[in-house]
Amino acid sequence: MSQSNSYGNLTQEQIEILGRQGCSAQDWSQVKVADGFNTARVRNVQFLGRVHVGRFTGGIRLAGGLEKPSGIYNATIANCIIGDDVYISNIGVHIANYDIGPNACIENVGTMVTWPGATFGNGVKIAVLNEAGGREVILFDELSAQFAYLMCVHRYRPVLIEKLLEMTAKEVKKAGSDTGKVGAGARICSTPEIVDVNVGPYAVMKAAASLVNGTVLSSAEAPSVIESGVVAEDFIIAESASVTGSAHLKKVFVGQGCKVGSQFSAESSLLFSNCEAFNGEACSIFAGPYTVTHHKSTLLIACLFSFYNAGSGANQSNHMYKLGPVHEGKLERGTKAGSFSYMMWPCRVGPFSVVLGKHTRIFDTSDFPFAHLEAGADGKCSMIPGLYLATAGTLRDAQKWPNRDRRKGSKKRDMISFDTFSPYTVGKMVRASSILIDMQNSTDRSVEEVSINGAQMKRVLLRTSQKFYRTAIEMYLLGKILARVEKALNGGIKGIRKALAAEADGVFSRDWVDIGGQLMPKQRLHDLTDAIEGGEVTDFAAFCGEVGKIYEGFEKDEWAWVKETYKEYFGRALESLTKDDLAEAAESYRTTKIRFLKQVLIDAEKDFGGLSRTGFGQDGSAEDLDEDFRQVRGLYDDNKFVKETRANIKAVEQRVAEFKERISAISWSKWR
Amino acid sequence: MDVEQRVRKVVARQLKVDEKEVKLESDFVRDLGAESIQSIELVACFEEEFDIEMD
Repeated sequence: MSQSNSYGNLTQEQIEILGRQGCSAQDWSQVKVADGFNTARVRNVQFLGRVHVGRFTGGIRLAGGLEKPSGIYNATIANCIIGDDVYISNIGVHIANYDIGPNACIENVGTMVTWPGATFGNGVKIAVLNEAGGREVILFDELSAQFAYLMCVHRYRPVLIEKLLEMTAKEVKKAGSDTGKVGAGARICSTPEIVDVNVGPYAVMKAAASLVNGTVLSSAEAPSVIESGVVAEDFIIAESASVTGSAHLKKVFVGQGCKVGSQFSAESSLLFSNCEAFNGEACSIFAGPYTVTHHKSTLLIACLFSFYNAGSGANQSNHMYKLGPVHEGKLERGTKAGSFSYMMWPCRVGPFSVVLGKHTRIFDTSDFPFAHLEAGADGKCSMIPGLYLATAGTLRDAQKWPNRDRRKGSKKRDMISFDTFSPYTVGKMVRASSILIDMQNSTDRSVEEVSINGAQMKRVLLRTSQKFYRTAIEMYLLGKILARVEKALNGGIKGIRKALAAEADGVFSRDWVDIGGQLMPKQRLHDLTDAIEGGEVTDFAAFCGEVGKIYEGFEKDEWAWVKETYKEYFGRALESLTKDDLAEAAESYRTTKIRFLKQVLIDAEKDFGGLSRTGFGQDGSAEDLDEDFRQVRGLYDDNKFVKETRANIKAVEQRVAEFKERISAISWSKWR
Repeated sequence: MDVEQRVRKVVARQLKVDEKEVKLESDFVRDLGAESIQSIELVACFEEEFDIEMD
């Protein structure tokens, strides 16, 4: 695809030909054309102001193989640069103040205009979390989940916010222009109104209703799609995203790989990578990566999410009829809300928890990951910490997210940590276990329930939840050690010792944080925010560089955490482990992991049990029930997930056996 | 109290049924109406009653 860079005046003969073809110009001397300009492909065009027109030699290939000759037909063009082999046809009102890249196609569009001083959605303030304001994030093209998170959540560091605002202002300034852009190869058709909208290369905009003050980021390898009936105002839509099905967006950021459609409406919200939003409504939400809401009557409001799944009719309140909609919720990664679940903000839910029922009491279960949180008839939250650790759903989610990363192309703005078990979640389990032990020791057996940060818990389950967490903590720590030593076995004792030592660049923090989907030691976050406040990180590119380095260093930091936590949890330093200890650790890992996977299988089997068969075999006999179930749902033994989990069990057996054999072959005498 | 009686007592208390309804052949879910969460609580109660750990 080429683009002319030399333009000249039309000849008198060309002007006459154009005139005969229904063309006119305010001032023909302001119409410049590229070498090789073809008058035959410009018909019924009114030129206003200064217009540059490229060469028209080829055609535009449309979906289905249809090819149309490039050119300008039936249009009013004002102050535009038209690239080579652009196809513009049937423009109802006009196209004004646009730079249109080569091979772009604009057809059956009403008004397409850029007004002076446009910023194309950049600079729009989004009142996230607190609908009444105070946590505003300002839109700009390159906005990432990490940057937005700090801007929104860390308001307790005003100097940091001031510096982030300075970085933002620079980015917003870059976007300002009196001329809009349509990237090379973009396709825009049947859209009545496009005002102050930048359109990236290869974007597809088909039958949108109205697009005002926004940017559609797009590229050849990561095209974005805006379709049928979409109304968007004050927005940025990132690469690989699709916004379709009459979605209504007002003051919204749609991140890379997001899918929004089926009449979803969103206002004052940020949706980062790979979110899916259909049918329902969002207001003032910070939807971190992989936030998913698919159903009608689902309202997500004033809340922080990531890896979230909303059941049908899930909703929340941020207003208690006092000082306005000022309350906010924090649902940590992996949370699921059951159908018609309700929460009254403020509430905070720990990672990978499941919320069921109508919660009318405020609670904070952030220290208790993988919890079952069910509202009783009185609206109180009843909690079972750790219940969702060994469940098929949790394991399936962990497997599916990385495979569902729809971000194409090399540029990925949001840093996403996919690990279900990490120092972030396992650290919470360690803390939770300690709280549960203390409560168990200090609570008399006659007590039926205990209260933890607004949630109720059956006393008898204090021990059960400890057991859930113990399994996961040990599985994680031992698994990490096994994996590390396994890789070092070829290096003999020296290699193993090196593997068990600390990494020079690893940073240890007991507490880890989840910064908009990226996990990191708290110390890393402090170092980053200190560097911003101290003026060492002064622009957005430098910010991304620092965040990227933290992301790259995840494994080293994780190892620092595993090493220290192992010492505290098992009471022994890794350096003191002998060959036998390592073999024993591997055996403990085998036992724990297999017990875990077997529990997952038991959980999966419930989907094939008697109760799951309810309603099958309708109008038939008892035998028909089984056959109907078999035809529709298949057999437990044939289920893909079940097969994979069983294979996983075998792999663990084999892996540990091999490890023990290999480590036993290392000369004992050389081991201290 | 023998083991069977203790089990019966725990089940009756936990599932809020009459001790007489808890029979050796009773199915927790089908006959005694235990739901998934109640099964977890039941196991926890057995563990506490008998000071054991159940998988």
